[in-house]
Amino acid sequence: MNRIRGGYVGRCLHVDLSDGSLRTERLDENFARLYIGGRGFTARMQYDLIAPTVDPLGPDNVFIIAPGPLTGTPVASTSRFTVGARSPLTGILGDANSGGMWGAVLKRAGYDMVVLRGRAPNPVYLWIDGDQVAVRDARHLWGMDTRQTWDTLKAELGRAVSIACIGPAGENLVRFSGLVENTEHVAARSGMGTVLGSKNVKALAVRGTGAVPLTEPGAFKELSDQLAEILRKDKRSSSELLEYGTTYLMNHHGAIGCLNTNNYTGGDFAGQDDIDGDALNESYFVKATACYRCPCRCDRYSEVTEGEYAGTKVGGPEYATVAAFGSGCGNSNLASILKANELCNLYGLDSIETGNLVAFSMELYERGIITDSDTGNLQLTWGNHQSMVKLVEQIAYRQGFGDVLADGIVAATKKIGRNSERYAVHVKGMTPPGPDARAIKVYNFRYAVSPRGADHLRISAPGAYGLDSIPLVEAAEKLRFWEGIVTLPDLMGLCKFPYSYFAETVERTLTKMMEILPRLYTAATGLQTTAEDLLTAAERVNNVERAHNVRLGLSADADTMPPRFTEDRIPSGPSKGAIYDILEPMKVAWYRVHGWDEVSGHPRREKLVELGLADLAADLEERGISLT
Amino acid sequence: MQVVVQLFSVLKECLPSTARRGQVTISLLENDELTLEKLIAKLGLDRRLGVSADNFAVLSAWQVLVNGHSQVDMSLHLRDGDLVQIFPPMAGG
Repeated sequence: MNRIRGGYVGRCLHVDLSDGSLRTERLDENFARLYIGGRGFTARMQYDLIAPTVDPLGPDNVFIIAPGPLTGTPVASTSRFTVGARSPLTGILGDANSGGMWGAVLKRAGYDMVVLRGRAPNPVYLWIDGDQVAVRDARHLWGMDTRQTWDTLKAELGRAVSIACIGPAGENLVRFSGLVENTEHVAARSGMGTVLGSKNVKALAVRGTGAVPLTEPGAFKELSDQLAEILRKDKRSSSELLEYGTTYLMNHHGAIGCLNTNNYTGGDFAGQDDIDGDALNESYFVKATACYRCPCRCDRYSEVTEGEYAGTKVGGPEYATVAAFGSGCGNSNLASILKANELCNLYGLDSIETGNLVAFSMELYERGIITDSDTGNLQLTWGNHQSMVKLVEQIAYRQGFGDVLADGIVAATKKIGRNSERYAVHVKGMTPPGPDARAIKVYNFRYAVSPRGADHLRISAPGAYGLDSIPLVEAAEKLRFWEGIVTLPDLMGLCKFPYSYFAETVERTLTKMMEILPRLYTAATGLQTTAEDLLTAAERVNNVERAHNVRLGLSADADTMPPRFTEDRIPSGPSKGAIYDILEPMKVAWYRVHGWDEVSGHPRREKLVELGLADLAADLEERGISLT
Repeated sequence: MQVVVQLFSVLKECLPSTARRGQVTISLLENDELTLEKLIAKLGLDRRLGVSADNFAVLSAWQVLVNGHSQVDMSLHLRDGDLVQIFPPMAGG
């Protein structure tokens, strides 16, 4: 008997793009209990539906969209949804997460999950209008940027419609393309927009006017009010995010000496004051905007009104974008960073990956590894922002040197050769988001073990900057615990910032995550749970993701750091001399606290069974993968 | 003797008006002794977060770094030229 009475709306939509057929299934209660939603759903569905041999850009890849049980409910910051598919950038588990409005509207249209299979013969868009679903012709949209697509579909479908779409980069199968909502919010990482492009899906349009049902509306309201009071009283969530968004991080990382500078050659950037949050606020910042029901309003909206980048209007920037196109490229021209950000949003590019690829190219150019004959006379000197902006366009349209970069950093090193891989800063094919791992070593070990590459969004912890000062196993255990905490918003459809990141005290964070969140989930869904149950679910999801990549042949040797971090010392600044020298002992400590084999890095059979994943253990063993 | 202090996030509220971009230099007489506890009390960081200065880092979970190294012992004596940085518990990014 299905005991779900709210939170979840109870339906999963399956679309076969090859023939346009549609079917709706009821959400399975046991599946919901085990994986909660969001990234939990996309992780397990990827394991079940995408065979190891599937080409990420082939029709057999499966694109899964999953809001969480709290997405669209009347509590703070319930905007988030996850999209998942095999990554065309890394070839392994892929997913990306976004806020905005789209996920909440999908829930209000009545869907807990949407699964897209096959490949449409011609460009299409998916139109979900509550119970009415159609795969519609999108040939007139193909070639449009994300703003034009938004404007055109809005005009066709009406005002109360939320639209997520790909841009020209996704159409051109640039392998780090994202899914863009309203030209502002991007499910950016690991090439999820590219997968849609390969399936000939231009856009996902949704209208949803229903309310997400709640099992105990009174209790839910009470908890929502408690949470709102905590967020209101705490200045980190109520005013710091409003004032700076994520741009405040540049000052943190500059002060520690871990600010990505010149393709991670250095850790401090002389032009930092020209591109940090204060500089943005003093020059181009126009207003703060908010995702669905979010009181924090960390989104930036910025405009450039004069100079060579006049006319730039961008939903942004985020810190990671400024680090990638700014300090990472040796560039202190903030207007050009906003322009590059705008282009990424219009073309549908991951701004982190794109900026890092430009920075990588600049280092190769400065070293003479590539020359004007490679770049088509694009002078990729440090800080040459005109060339940087031009290269963004070339990447999106696979023109000139941009085409060399458009398949990602690993493919670029193979095309270029000449020992260029020595300067490629990536893990598993994905580049990191800003912090230099050499300066905050234990914390940034997350780059080595994230299932989708050099990732900053799966692991975080209080006291992160001080973890290098405590014994390694103790630090690993602390990170492991907090890995669970910061996984929960991804499963629930919540934003990490107000729930698990931004509070003046850890006590407040734990109150939100360990006391209020489980009760919110129960009040919404009717499913009894505890904080421990939820943390077990988070651990389960992390193990499914690990097992996914193990099935694809990844072992401990894939958990690595680039030579930039392990062989080169930071040359100057507060972290001068630092080098990443804890990789191997940290891996052993990490595997140990996770119950994974300390040599292979594979989850132990016992751990998978304990988490209710005996079927995954059996599957791996049947494929000849040894589990201890 | 001079100690440079960088405060981040809401603790910037506690900085004197002479601070620039979250940073201030504290000057002391030659024979004055300054511990982290005294510095934290002098700036009112303990009162801002509602925890006692003698166990500030543990009780608040804010990250106290001296010359880049995490410190939980608030009785640490600061020396001329030391850099004290205090970051919020969970920074993101």
